[in-house]
Amino acid sequence: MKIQEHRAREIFRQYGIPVPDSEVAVTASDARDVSNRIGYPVVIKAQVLVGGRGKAGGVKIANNSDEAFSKAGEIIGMDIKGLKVEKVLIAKAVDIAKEYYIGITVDRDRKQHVVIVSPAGGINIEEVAEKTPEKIGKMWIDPAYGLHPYELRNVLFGAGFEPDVAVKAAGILMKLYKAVLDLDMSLVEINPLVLTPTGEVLAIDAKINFDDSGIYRHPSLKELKESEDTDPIEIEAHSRGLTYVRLTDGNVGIIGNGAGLVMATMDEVKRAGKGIAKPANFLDIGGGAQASMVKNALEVVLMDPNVKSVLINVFGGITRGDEVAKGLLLAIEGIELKVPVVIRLAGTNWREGKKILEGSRLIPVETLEEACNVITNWMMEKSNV
Amino acid sequence: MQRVPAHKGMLCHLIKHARPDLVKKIEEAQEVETIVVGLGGQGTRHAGLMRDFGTTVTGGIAPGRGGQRIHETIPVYDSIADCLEEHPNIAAASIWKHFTSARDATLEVIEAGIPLVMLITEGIPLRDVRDILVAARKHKTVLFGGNTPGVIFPPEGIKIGMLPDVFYPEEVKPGQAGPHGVTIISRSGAILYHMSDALASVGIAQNAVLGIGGDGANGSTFTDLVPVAMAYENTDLVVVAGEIGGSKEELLAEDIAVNPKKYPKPMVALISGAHAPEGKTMGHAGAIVAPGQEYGTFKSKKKALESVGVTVVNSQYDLISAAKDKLKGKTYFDVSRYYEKMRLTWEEPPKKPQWGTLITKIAPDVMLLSGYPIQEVIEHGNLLETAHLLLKLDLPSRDILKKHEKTALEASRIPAPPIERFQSEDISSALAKSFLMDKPMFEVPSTGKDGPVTKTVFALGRFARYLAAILGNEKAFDSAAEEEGFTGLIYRAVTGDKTFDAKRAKLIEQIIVACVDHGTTPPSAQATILAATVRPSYEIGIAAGIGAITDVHGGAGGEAASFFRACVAKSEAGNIDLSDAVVAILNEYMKKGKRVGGLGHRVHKIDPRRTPLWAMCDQYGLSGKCVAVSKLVSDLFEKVRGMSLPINVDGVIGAIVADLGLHPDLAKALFVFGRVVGLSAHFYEETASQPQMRRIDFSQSVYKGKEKRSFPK
Repeated sequence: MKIQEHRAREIFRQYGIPVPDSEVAVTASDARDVSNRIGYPVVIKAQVLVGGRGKAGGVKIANNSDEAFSKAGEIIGMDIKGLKVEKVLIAKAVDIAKEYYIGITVDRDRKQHVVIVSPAGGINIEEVAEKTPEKIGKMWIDPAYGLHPYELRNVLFGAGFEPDVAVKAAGILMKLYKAVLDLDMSLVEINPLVLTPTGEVLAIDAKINFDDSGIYRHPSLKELKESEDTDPIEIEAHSRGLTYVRLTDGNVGIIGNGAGLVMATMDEVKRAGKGIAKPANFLDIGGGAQASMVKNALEVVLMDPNVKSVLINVFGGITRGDEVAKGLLLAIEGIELKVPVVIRLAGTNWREGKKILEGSRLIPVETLEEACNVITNWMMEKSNV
Repeated sequence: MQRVPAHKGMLCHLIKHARPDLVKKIEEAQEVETIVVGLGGQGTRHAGLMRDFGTTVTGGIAPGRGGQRIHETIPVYDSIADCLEEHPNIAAASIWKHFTSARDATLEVIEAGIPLVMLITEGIPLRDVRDILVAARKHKTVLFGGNTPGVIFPPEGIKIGMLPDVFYPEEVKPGQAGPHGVTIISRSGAILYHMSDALASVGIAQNAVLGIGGDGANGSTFTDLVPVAMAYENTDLVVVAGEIGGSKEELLAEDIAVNPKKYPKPMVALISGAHAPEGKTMGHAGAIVAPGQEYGTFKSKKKALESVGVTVVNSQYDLISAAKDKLKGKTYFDVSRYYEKMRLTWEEPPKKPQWGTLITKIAPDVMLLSGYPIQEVIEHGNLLETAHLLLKLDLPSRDILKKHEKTALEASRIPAPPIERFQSEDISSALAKSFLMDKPMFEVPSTGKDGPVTKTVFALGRFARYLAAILGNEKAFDSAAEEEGFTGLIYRAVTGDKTFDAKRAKLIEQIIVACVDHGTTPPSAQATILAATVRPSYEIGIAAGIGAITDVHGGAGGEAASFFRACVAKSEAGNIDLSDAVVAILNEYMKKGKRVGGLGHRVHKIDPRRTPLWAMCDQYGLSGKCVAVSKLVSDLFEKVRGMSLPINVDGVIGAIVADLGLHPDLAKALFVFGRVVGLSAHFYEETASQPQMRRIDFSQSVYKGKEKRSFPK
């Protein structure tokens, strides 16, 4: 789960990480009042969960009350990569002598936390890693040994941080690591961490992702969740508890049980599709294939106007095929099926399942190959008309 | 199909890496012992499915539920340590806990040294996964998951986890599995069914299918497992089933480049998700392509693997041709046999409903008490030993038996509750009342591993006391000497004799032993089991069963005793031959329409309990005229009535009671005494192994206990 910058700053403050004064505003006049309170110059930043806000015009400086009103007014309501800006962060602008990058994330392959630091902050860290790898310092944390400031200083020195900055950055990283463990974060990043002409070290940006699997331990964090979905069908699907991803140029709705199986089904449709049948979505209904789940899934897939046919691939390894079939019949009750729906049914008692579906609006087939071919033939007939 | 021996299979090969000491045990026992951790709906269900497939499921772990059983036969332990104490050779565990408690459960398993762990749980927080992996590294645990569907070894007939039985092993000749084949290692579960079906359709067998799990961070990965699979002599080809997201496939390619010697066998990789968009999680936490990254995409994985010579495919059809190619056309079984198997499993009719008991097997002329023939138990076992056997399903050690004797004697010393036996009240009714009124009995706990057996032994001591009180024998009872033991106490309670007669005492005790149980179907057992479904107190459950012992059920011994006495009296009074007297009395009974008790049995022709009782009477010189009549009566009955009704245990007991000069009522009292043991066993079996309030069809009861074995002499 990602959270917006202003919320991340709040968490930083709780952990004693130095951040300039800031507040949130939702209207231009609000923004002016807040700015007056904080004192000029201020930075006004759009609060949306996408990168590249600066380039899109979502970050502006205001030097006085009029500018604060007008610039905040420009940002609020603006569209950044499909997301509407509903609020802005107003922060005290600080003089910057130098920018750095520090962060902690989880290396899923080594299954350890990793600290990443660079004296070249303020820009995309992946770019730095690619072009000037010597400017990146990395350190994997041994969970049994813990994290110690001396190790951090060595990594910071090695990456080229000035000694006095390194000492302060190490202190900040210790606090960040505590926050990471306390709150089950999967990523925390300060980019940039800045050195002011007066020698202060401050975080002027804040990014935190939480481990979705750990959120249950922190009920208060759930309230911080903001929608990242831009696609209306994805929003609807997620509200129904379905794992659904929409693809842009597909025409065959895909429903299956098991993430790997759904991905493989998408691949097979694409492969057999002769460039005409293409997967339109990913939708995993999980094990069991209950009627209510299938009904929800079908409704969501059919919301996509690009979908001209649907392929349901259910493998009843332990679930019996006749039960799946009965569930499907229940599921399509009251659904208007304008497009053909092919169901590939395999596993225990599939023959009985097939019998149950005969004469219904669902077309049962035995193999995935057959299912793909049936779908492709339709699509070809359709495109020939 | 005949399986590949456990110690020659891939599972044992995996275990060998972590715990070489276990291999010898596996070879000796010819089985790999596994446990199921977390007995919610899913864990419990799959424990049964695993066992049905052929896996040895030695136990389940659920703190607070120790002593219970799942699927009637799988014992539940409170902790891994408890389980290992009884079963030190546990080689694998599957963990089915909720993600909030998976860390704790997994650490317990790993720290206990179990070498192979299937972590089925999905969505474990990364911080917890990290702690689990630190422990696994320390103990060299082979950890699969989180979010693994588990592993299956078709040639060995073993699965650990939730993979269904859709895989087909090599078949060296019809009905005989072979160990060779393709090893599949997969991130996803559901895709395995497709792959297996695809390969099987061209006669390619899987010798192992290993699911590493769909979560972002998990235990063993391709880099760990592919070399192990290749080191197994019977693996001809490794198929890696990867998908987009993460860098497990890229890391595998890197390792192949650096350590080519670890990868001596051919390999094919099927990578799914070629058409997934960037930045979106595709169901599995691990299946996400981060924007702009050079790893995690279908292209990056394909490129990395192909650069080290691995064939990469994106479809099951390409998989088939690539596998065929690598195996140079080798096939492992006749494809029609695979389709036939799938047809049979898919069309298999639903199983007949049944439920199990492990206590007593009943078949015509056969009675096995947890495997021991009742004849041998009557000959060699005493009452407390038999009680322990029915409650714990094995015989007690000498020390435990001493402890039981002490418990029973102590229980018998406490005064009986003040019960009035009403005039003409059935003795079983008076005994049931005693049970319900008895505070010291009520206060004995039945919790803990040995709670049920201790409570039962205490009940037997109390029962002797009740009997002595009801029969007015308490004076004889109180003068019992220590060395007479519980045997002497029973004797005094029953007879009221103030002097101990070892032979008579032993005979009475063995009569009680003969009555301990007759399976789940006698009305008394049904009453207790039915009561137990609502989890009442022990006393209520046992009283329900005792109350169901009447002149209709369990009371024939008294009738028989009266009959035998009448025969003997007639013979003595008229000075006629015993058999003539029997014929005369039989005719009298017929005229009056009176039933002769103790003849015929709904299951047995030759009641297995009668011969050892007769033999004991003869051996002790205690056979009198009534016992003589009991040996004659069946033949004479057939002559008079033209019907074959062999004498049953009630008849024999009635005869002995009569010859011992005891009141005929005592035949029933002894029956009840013995049956307290069986009722206790059924009461605790029901509460430990069945859901509450279940609906019971007693005709569906099946013995699932120990096979026939010899009673140690």
